[in-house]
Amino acid sequence: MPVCILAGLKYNDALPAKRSLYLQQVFELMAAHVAALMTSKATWDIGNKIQRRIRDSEKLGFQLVATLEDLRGEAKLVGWDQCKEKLLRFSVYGFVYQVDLVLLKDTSDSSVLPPSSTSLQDSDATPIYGPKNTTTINVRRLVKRIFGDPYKDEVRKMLGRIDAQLRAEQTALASSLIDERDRILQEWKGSLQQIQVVQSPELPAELG
Amino acid sequence: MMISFVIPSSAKGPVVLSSGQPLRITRNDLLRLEKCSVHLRDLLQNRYLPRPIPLAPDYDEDIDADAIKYLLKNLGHPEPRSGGSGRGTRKIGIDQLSRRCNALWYYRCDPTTFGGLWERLDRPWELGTGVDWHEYCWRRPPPKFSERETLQYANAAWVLEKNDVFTQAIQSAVWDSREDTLRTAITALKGITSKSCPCAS
Repeated sequence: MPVCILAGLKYNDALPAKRSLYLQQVFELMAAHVAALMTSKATWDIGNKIQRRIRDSEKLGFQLVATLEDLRGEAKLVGWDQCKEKLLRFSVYGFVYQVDLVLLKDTSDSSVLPPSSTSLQDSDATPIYGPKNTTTINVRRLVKRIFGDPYKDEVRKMLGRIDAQLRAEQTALASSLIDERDRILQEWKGSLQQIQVVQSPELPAELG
Repeated sequence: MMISFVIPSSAKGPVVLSSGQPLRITRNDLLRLEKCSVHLRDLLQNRYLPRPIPLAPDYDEDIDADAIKYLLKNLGHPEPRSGGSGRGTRKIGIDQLSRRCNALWYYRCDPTTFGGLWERLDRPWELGTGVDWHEYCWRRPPPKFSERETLQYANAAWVLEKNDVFTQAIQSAVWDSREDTLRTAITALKGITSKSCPCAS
């Protein structure tokens, strides 16, 4: 299941303008690309506040899953390997999510990210929106940038590969179950045919 | 509630007792059951088993008294098609269909003659798996049915050899089922949730 972590976004990141609208737009944009979205606690809290507006994330076609307290301090503090290890053990309602993409707001330390990840903003680059050294960021534009140029092709190729893999795995799962049923049914049919040949002349005495 | 499957001791033949009307089984019926169910045949041929032989509902495997009675009445007879009329073509819900399929499987029956059972579903089922080619497979419409219903749908499709339907249903189940909610006689399907798909592990 392709999962994106949107990390590093805090309450202030959605300010100063209509934060609920921004977050709604972010979720909608993300929903077009990923199946599940994990967020840091702060983003989750913001998400909860706009639940009434977006009703629920499932209507957007993806799951908004629980917060990741383990990610407090985020990947840059623990390193990607440790982060991934924690995430792979993390489960919600029985799911164990595999993280495919991590979006961090403002780190450029690629060593803490999985290969396909990217930061929303290079730490030494001019902020995409708002003055430098401020957390006032138009998150809608940031997410658009991730799924637009220059990352568009890269991200879409990755998601395309995941899609093909998932379809193949689902088909294989169904096929294996069908094969198992057919094998069992063949056994039963063979057994039933055998008894018909043996018993057809006469019933056992006590059944007559 | 216990159903007793009584081996005959008089000319009237065996009787299946249920909570409602007793279901009489004739000598020919016994032959029919033996020919169509491996498990019933084994029971009937086991001379060391005490009589009557109990056929008890198994709620862990979602087999109730109705499912057993249905099986005993219909095994070996062609299932009426949906276009017919009368009591035999009454529409049933997915939960009842799933339970009957569980009984078919538990008693190791050949489901070939039960194809018409599928057509008795009481409402159209569309799992929302019609994903356009340009969309990702996880971008399916939200399911219209509960997790349990989706799993029961997959369960019935599997038993009744509706392979295309089953493939669709299993994809939906993999995405939408978060907990083990399916009670079934089919071992292979007991743990079908998102965890069944390698992509989620």
